[in-house]
Amino acid sequence: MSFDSIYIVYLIILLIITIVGFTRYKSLNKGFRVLTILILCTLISESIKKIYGKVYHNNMPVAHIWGVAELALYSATFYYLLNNSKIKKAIVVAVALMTALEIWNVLFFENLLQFPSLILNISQIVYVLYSLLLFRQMLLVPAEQSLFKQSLFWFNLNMLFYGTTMFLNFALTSYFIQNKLDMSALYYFSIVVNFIFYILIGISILIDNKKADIMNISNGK
Amino acid sequence: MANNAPNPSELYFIFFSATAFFVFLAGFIIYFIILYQKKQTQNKAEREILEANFKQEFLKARLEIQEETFTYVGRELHDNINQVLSFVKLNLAMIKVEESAQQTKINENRDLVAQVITDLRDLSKSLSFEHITKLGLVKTIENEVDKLNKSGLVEAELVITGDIYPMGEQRELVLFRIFQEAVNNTIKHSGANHLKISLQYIPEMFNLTLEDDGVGFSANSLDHSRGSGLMNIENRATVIGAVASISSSAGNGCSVKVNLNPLLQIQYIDGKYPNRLG
Repeated sequence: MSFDSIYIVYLIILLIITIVGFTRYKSLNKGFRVLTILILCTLISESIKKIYGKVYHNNMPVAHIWGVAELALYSATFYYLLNNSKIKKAIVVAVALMTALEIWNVLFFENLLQFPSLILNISQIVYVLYSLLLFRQMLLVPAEQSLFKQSLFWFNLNMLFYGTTMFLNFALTSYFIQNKLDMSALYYFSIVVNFIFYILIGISILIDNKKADIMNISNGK
Repeated sequence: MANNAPNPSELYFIFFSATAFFVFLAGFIIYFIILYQKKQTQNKAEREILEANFKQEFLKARLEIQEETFTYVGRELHDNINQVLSFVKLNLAMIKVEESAQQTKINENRDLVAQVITDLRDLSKSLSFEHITKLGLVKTIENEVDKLNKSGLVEAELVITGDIYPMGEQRELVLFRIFQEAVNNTIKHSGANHLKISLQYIPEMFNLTLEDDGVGFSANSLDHSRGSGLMNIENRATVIGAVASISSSAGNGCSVKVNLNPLLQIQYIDGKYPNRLG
């Protein structure tokens, strides 16, 4: 399968999730509404990246901007999913810090034409932290509903899986480049992880229900 | 592309590290799922206990209110209405007329008023909390059985087995209210000719049984008043830690059984709230 065909499949998956998200928009809770907007933005950003890459042969400027925007949107999702007010404040501070870090990174380390590895690597760590905090909250306030029917569980599991796996992927990529090894295995690994990630996000958006979440919270508390 | 082949030990290290990473991730997820389900079960159990406690408190409060109402009505009957009727009876006794037919009428009315006074006094006693606690369960039930037999509504038989022991004022009062509810149901709905009441005193268990030979009923055919009466029996039994079972079928009479372990200590009848029913 060529790279372009895989990319089209990837965009189609994003499009389907966006349609599902906006069809169910009113019945989603706030966190998942932000997630739906994030998926739409991902679709737009990935499309622009592709076009930008074809025209200018380097789409890294888009990757730099999207790196920060993606972190801000995932942070907003967790902001609504987490209840602790201190953690919410920490999320806002983290986004501000990451934005400052990215500007600093562009100015002094990885310019706009280079791959934004710093912001992406740190983002993965931040996602893992968010995910662990949300797992902690779920344990403190367990819902009555079966865990496997909870959108929160699938989304959070997905974020943990994606954050840790992509971090591993970056580390391996770095090692492979250093040793000039064949990258195709890593390339396919990255594709599979991305596909799993977005499909699971689609499932969590599909099963999320604002009313059920409200009931679970009131029962749990 | 593989120009600089890496050291095999380095490759093994990477392979094992990646495997360990995925094993750890899977382990974490499995651990979380188990822990979460455990918490869910714990939460559910706690919620059920809370619900049961709430139900118990609700029943207690309802019975307290009912008991207060009974006491108030009983006192009013005894102190007010009975006094007025006594005056009426006295006045009737003082009326002397020449005509014997009229005098007979007055005497008949005086007897009727006397009968009403006696009935009201009995009713007042059966409603009064103090009276029941003073006489005890057995004596009070014996009195009620006598009244039933005198009324001719039903032929009642009382069987007491075992050595009688006290069960505490509160529990005896609730048992008596259950007895009253069951008798009331028999008179109002069953059309029974015979009612057998058994009080069985075993050291570890007290059993109160009421069996009638009336028309019986099936669970589906219960009307509202009878259904709520039977539910009252069950609720009252729950409040004192007893178990009530009601069995009946159409044409086969009805049996109400209440089993109570007298050794079972229920918090709210255990002297913690001595002035309260529940």
